[in-house]
Amino acid sequence: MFDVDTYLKHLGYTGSLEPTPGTLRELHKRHMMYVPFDNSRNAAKGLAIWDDVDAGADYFFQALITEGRGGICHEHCGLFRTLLAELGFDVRVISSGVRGAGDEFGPDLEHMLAAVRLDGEDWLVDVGFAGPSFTEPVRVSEDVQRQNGFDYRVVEDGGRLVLQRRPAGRDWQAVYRFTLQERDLSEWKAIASGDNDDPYWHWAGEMIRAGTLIYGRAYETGQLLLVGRRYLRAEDGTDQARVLAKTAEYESVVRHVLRQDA
Amino acid sequence: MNTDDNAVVEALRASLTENERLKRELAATADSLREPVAIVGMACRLPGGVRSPEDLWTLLDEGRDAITGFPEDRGWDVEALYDPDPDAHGRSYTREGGFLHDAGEFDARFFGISPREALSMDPQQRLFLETAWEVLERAGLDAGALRGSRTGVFAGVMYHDYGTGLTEVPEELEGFQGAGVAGSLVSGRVSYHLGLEGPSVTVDTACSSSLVALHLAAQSLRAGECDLALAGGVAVMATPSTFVEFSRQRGLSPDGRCKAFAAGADGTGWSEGMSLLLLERLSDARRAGHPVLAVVRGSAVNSDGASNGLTAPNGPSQERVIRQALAAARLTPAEVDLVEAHGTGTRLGDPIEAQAVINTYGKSRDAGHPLWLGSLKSNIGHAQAAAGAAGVIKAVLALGHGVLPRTLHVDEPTPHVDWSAGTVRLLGEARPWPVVDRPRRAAVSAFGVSGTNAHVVIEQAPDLPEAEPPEAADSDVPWVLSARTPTALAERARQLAVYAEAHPELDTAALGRALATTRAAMEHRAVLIGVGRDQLLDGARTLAAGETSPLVVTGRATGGQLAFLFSGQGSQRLGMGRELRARHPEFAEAFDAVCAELDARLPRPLRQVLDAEPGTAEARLLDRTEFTQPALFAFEVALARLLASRGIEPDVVAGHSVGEIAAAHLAGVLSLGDAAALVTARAGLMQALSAPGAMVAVRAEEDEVTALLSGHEHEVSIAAVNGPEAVVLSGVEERVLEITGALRAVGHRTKRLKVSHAFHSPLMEPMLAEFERVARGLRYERPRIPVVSNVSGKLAEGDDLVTAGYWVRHVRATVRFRDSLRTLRAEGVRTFLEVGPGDTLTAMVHENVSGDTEAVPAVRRDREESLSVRAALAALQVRGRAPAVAPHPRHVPLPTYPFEHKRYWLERTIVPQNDTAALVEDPAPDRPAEETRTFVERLAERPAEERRKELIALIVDLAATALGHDTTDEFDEETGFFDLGFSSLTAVEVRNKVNEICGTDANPMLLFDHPTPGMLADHLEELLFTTPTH
Repeated sequence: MFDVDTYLKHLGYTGSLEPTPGTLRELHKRHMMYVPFDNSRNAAKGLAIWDDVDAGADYFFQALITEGRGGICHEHCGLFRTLLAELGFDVRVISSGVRGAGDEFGPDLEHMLAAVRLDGEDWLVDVGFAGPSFTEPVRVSEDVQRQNGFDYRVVEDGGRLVLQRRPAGRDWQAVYRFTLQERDLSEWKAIASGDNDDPYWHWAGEMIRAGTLIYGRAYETGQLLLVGRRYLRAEDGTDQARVLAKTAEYESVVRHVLRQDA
Repeated sequence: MNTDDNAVVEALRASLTENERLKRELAATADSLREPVAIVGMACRLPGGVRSPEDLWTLLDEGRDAITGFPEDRGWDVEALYDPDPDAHGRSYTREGGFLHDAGEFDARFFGISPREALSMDPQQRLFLETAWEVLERAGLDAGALRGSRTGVFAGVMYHDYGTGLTEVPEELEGFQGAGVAGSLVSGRVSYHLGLEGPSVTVDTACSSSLVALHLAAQSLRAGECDLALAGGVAVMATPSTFVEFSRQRGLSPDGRCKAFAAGADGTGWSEGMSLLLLERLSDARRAGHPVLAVVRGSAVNSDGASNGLTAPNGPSQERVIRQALAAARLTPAEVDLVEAHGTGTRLGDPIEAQAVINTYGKSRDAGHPLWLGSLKSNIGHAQAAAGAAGVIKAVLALGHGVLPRTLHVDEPTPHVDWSAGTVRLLGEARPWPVVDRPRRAAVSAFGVSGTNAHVVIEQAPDLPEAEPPEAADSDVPWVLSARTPTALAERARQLAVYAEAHPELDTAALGRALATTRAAMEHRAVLIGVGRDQLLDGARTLAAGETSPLVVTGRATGGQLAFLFSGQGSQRLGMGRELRARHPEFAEAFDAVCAELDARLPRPLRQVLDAEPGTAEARLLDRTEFTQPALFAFEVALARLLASRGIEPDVVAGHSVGEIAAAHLAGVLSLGDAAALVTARAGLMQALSAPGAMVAVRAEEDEVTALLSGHEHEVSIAAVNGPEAVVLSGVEERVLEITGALRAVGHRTKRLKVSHAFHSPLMEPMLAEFERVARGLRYERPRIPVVSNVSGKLAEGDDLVTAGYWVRHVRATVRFRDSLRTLRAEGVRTFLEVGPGDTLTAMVHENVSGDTEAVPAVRRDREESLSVRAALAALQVRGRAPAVAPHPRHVPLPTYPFEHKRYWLERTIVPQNDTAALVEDPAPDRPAEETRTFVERLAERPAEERRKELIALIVDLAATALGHDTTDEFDEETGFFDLGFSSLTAVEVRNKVNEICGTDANPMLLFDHPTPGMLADHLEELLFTTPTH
């Protein structure tokens, strides 16, 4: 059963529970640090992963908190949304299309995240994106916001909003394209049932189909991301990628990312 | 005398002085123009599998003939090409010649050249590049150190036919072809890839090209245009056109052999070659200790002018060029013993040349001292643009061995020459060099079909006074090896083991010095740290076998800064430094100097405590803080001095607690005396504190611990934060144990430290006032190198380190070592060396800093101290921080780089549909059906092992294309795509190409899941060729 105290203990969080930007920031980061991204339970399902999208907070809580596993975007999003709502945050489900390898954006429902409205401002809340991306919420604003040496901002682009990220000394690059329009979970159910089958799934869509294993989590000053055997560490404004050709090393990194080596 | 007279006398005097000066300058100029030029290195590739001058000497000594059939891997239709009829159109009436059968082999990665570019490059460029590297190594020069130097490159080249037969240039090669076959690029590439900034010239005077190049190089050296010069020539026949052409002229010998000056001479035999000399002004070579193999006494170049035919040889012009060369050498003809002739074996040319030699060298010499005449072409054929320099290599070898090598195929001297007209004899047999009371001398001729003649006189190297034997002090010089790849590194180790075993006369230190100072340092490195020949040889064999040993340190050079970390209390041990004192005078002297300062302030001499018998009361003194702190200070300072004597200096320093005083002293903040005063005062005052207290290490985060201290701050402090979950509590015993008990209750591990006092806690407060009084009396300077402070965990700034107040705070404050390490990492430190008697701080680095960093202790508890230091120096060296090693006073020859060859050859027949695949393949069989078959179909017929190679070659090629051409030098089957700058987009592009060529339907994550060419090849093999079992 979903339980706020157990959840917070899992995150090692003992601070204030007032719905303030400070609380949101700390919870967001801690969720990303202590609840890893892991698609291994779902990789084989392909597009059917969306079937569980409305399984409910208890179901996600069991897997991610009680059993201490990692999960994919709608599991994280569903779980974290519930926590925020319990604490009195004004939170809603939104979606985004992720930038693909060729700079094109995926379909609008490709990725699930959340938006929180606080003191008249909107914050992007996304604890279930493998990244590399932000680890603390980003204000929906053109103001440049720095995290771990990376800059983030949100800019308008033909009626949609684009989250951009800039490594130190590099150019801005889009992460995903979104709107603040609230989504209904049934829209995703439709994909799983084949009723909303966008004929051209891009990067992330193909990633889902590919069954490539993805693991990720944040740490105090950065983010770890393992896609296949490509291991990325985003820290100090730099994305450092390395290939793990040796199986023993790969396995030990998987354990490290999933915090199973502690 | 009146003033006018004075003025005249002054003017006269001035003019006389000026005359003198001009005379001297003139003489100096004339001298410099005649200054002997030393040959300091030679390298070659010649027919008969000759890959070195030593190989050439073996071939000469054995009187071997290197002529073979035509190469079958260049797309020549060898069968159809041959027709014994000299008039058969488009045919050659000989089917033999002297070939570099592996002319297509090249180590592209070594030079950072992409496979595609290598394929587009004329093999003559590639041969010249590899040989250039090799000739520098053979002279004992670090090619890397020549970058930016005034080194000239003079290349003789006459063929430009590589790739010319292609009807269709593959798309991927467009843009490379121009530079690929340009003759100018033969010299240009060497200058470019080695960064040589002297003149870079390609010479084409046909068959005299390499000798003319040598002449120009010597002139350039004498004129001071360059300080070092590579001179030589290369000839590779990419097409058989020259055989066809000379068949029509009936100039070829039907059996492909040059029967120089023989009655049986029946034409020339074409061959190929690469011959290269390294030249330097003799005085410079002597000063630098480079090996002087021989000296170029003089040389000359002229032309036949308007002779009796554009391409016909001309006797009088040959005589003139010989006389000019002798004049330049200031020698008479009788002072030369051997002429290595052009001697191509033609019925017209040989008699003309012999007559010219008789008319010049053959006159005015007594019958007992004939001029000996020979030609290398009788062994290897006519290597054309490489022939002249090859003749010089032969002559230098002959001078050195004191043997006149035999000329093959001389049935009897040609009857078309009047041999009686002068004292010239043909070398039908090898002979010992005649005894002469002057240096042995040889001259070499080369004549180009263009009419350009060259003649060079060389002389035996003058004797050297025996060099000073090197001092025995550094008899434990390690053996250092480096290479561009791990496999080449292993091969280097194998070569070294073989070489060292074959040369027991070379002592291990001489080899060590030569390895460290006469070879370029490349990224993959190994240091063999064994002591003595057996251990070093074992190390080399271990490395060659790909095995590991504590006496073999390997690694990859990286950038980044080096930090010294000075250890704090707890790391001390009895007897520390004893062995280093005995073995290393640099350590002993520094240690004595520190002790002299400390002992004046200690109740008993430090050495008595350190050297005490274990278990005695005196030994126990070392764990009393009044001795612990000074002892660590003395050991660490002496160790840092020892490292400095090996050329290892830190970019930044830090210390843990008392270690920071040693760091500050090393950084120049405190003089030795003042540092000793500070450390003894600190130690003594702490010792005098009555309340001992307790210290406990806790595995918990700082915040959690801090929360528990609330209300107890006057009794307990956090003494140190050493890691993310490594905190030390210090203070009143009862309270400390209470708090750590609470921590244990919630699952944290704790460990009580064996200490005499509660350092960095409120219990230190009673000593602070007196300590401040002492600290105020000292003089502080700004640090010369950056120091990271324990108190702030950041780079020391402002009052840090340089005020008494700082050192007082330092006693009481938390040691922010975790922050210090993060600061060091942020400052660019990638290598940490712990300077202390143990490895406590090394472990902390491993706990705090991840990524590409290395931490090593200078001394390990469990190892002999000096072996530890050797291992630590080796670890720094493989990371890119090489200790200083003095060069060996004499030249020590070493094996040359084991190039890792792959074959690159542009075929005439390219399969248009599958050009990408065709390019990486061996010659595509020209069955017409082949063209319509797919890459996969063709692969399916190959054995699995070959298939895998083909797939890897394809993948590497695709990866190279996707990346552009500058970053592919590192590619092999184990290289990670994303380690080489692959983006998601390039990964998808390569996936697309793979799908296109292999007809697969691989998903876009293909390269993420199979991240190296080898893994991807295995995956494709499984997809394409594994039959489903059900």
